[in-house]
Amino acid sequence: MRAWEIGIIGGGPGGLMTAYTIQKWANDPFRITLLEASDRLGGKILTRQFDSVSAHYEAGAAEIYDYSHMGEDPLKELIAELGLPIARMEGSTAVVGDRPLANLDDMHDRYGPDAVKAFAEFNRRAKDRITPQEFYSPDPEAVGDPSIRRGFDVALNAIPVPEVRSYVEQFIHSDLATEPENTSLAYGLQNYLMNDHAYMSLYGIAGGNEALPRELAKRLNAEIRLRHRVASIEKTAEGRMAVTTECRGSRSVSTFDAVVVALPNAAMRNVVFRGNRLASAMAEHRAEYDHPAHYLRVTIAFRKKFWHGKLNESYCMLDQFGGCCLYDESSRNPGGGYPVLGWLIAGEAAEALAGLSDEQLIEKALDSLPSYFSHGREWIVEGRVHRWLDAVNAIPGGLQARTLDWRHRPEPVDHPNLFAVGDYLFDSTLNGVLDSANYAAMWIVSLLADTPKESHDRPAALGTPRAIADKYRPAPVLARR
Amino acid sequence: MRLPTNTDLPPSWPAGSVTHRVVYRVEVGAAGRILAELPFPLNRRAIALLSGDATPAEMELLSVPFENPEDAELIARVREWIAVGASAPQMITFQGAQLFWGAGRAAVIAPQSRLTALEVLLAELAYFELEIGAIEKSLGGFWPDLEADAGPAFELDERTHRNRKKLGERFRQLLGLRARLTRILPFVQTPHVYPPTLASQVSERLRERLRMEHRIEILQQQLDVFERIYDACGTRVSEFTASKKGHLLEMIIIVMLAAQTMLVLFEVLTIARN
Repeated sequence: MRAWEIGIIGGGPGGLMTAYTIQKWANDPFRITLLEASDRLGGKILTRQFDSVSAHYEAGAAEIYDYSHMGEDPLKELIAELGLPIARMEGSTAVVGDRPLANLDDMHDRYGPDAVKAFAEFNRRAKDRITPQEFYSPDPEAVGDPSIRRGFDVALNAIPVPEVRSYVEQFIHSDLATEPENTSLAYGLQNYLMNDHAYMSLYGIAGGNEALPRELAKRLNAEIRLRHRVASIEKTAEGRMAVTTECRGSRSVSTFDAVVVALPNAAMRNVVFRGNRLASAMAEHRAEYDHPAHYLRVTIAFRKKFWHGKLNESYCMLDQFGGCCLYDESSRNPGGGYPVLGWLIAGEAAEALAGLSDEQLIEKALDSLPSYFSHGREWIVEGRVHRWLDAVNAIPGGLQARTLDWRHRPEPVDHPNLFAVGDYLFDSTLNGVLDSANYAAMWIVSLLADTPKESHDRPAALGTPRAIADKYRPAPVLARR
Repeated sequence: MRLPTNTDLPPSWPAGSVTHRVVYRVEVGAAGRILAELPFPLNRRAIALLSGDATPAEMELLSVPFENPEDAELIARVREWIAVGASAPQMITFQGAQLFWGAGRAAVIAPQSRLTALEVLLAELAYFELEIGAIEKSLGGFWPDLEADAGPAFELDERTHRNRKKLGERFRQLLGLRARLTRILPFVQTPHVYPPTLASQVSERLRERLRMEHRIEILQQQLDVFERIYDACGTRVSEFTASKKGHLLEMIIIVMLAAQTMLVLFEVLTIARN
């Protein structure tokens, strides 16, 4: 009897969460090998230090969604399980036309009562479309109202006051990471509604979000191979999966009973899937979720917190770059290190500006500050830039309503033990990637349990009934998109 | 329309600065002008007392219209005003307004257009703060009684039974405190408002800064303990009273039986003698 071999491709949050969940749930012998192309684990969760001063900042995923007031919140529970402290994040202000606009009173003073009425009407319509419960736990397989698949620009264009339209667009632009016409009405509304605490709130991990992958990796009993880029995946004659990797110019092949591809959708194009059926299924899978969205992160450490008194929340929105989120990174760690501001530039602006040098981008970021922050230039210590092109999905979950099985098993007939995991299958968030990882892990654990105990020589049979999967599912963790 | 000024501030204060001496009443009467209508069903109004009215104020509110609420000198003066009697006044800078909170005093510096909304908000919040403070104080005074009454909650003696009216009165007072607390809960624990108004944003932050939710949670836990003890005391008193009545009845029956036995004996002896 030999242990099942499970290969996980990608050392980002998806890969780590899948490995951790399998380890937690499985009762049968197995071995996990985690293959990561870069020299670090964590993927899009990246907490970095400045060179010249003691201050850290989020260079990747900025925040985590908190749904715990609605019911189970698997990610928050996981973070608590790992013993990580959290810090709440708040932000209600947008700087529009060099002046802060933070509430209905500001809108009334600036644009008049018609603007407030138009905004209230848009807000009402958005809430009519998606209730907090539907936001928390939608049925990802339901076809639903087909109009929800129209572009988000349709909803924006229905706002009769141009200033309000522009305000809404800019306020959620950095969450969407794309332009309204490039995403669905549903995703646009979700990103608008997430500002309401009845739907969700935001938090980060105190000390840096990268503590999450770091703590997961510490607890893994897996062989982790860094700098192993996966070149190809194919099915062997014995029905197993052969994964060819490249490391420092040399190639090697490992075979697994099950393989989890936990790569960003864009990174999949670098992997060759051999065999007609698999190649075509993976091409279809990639095309379904090929809605690239982009980010640029510009982060600057200052000697003085010159924004004190003006920016009292964790972040605010700027009407620059089509709508840009400005984080007070130091609010994540009150009392520690140098004050830091971080710009999250998104969508077309990020794509267009990505070719500029770091110095030019830092200059542009400083230019984007409102005039009452212009004296901040004299306090600069160090600036950093991180480019995340094609790193997230503009229509996560795709335009079509697909079953969770379809999303996670791209070719279930000949390759039933090949799984896809990623935030792009749910909602482009860390919460979504955990849902996805849990789903794939549940399948693998049920396949493991389904394999005859006398011999693990062959992989489990195709199509384990969902009833068996349900048996090994400890709790309804598949909430949210 | 500006409300009446109750205390004339020195002319060195920005024009339009006023202080309001506020009381909370059901009826306005001749006492002053309505500053804020507290939401239903609180059935109270925040009333700014008229100048010269000697009625003791429940809170004082300083309102300073100023286009630059971050003026350091002005802030220092307001802090000085609010610090009377308060060890560590709270200060919040938010959306172009400065809010200050001390013991029995609150102050706001904001542009004129925002001032009225913030005055109303502070008057409302002060009522909730006063209520919570009053409940905390009352409940604090109950602890020595509670310690004395914890024993009877398990076993009652004759002496304590004689004090049952006092026990009942304490229980009634506790229920009264619980009712007061429950009445303000929907307003103190009101959910986040979206889209927000300046008042809702400031209210959320002030409630958080004053730890209102946390204090209410503690008060509820304390009230639970008190109620459990006095509930048990009530049960013991009822049992004691019932058993005392039972004993009396038993004694009456015993006496009657004894009397009957004596009569029978007397009758038997009389017959035997004859």
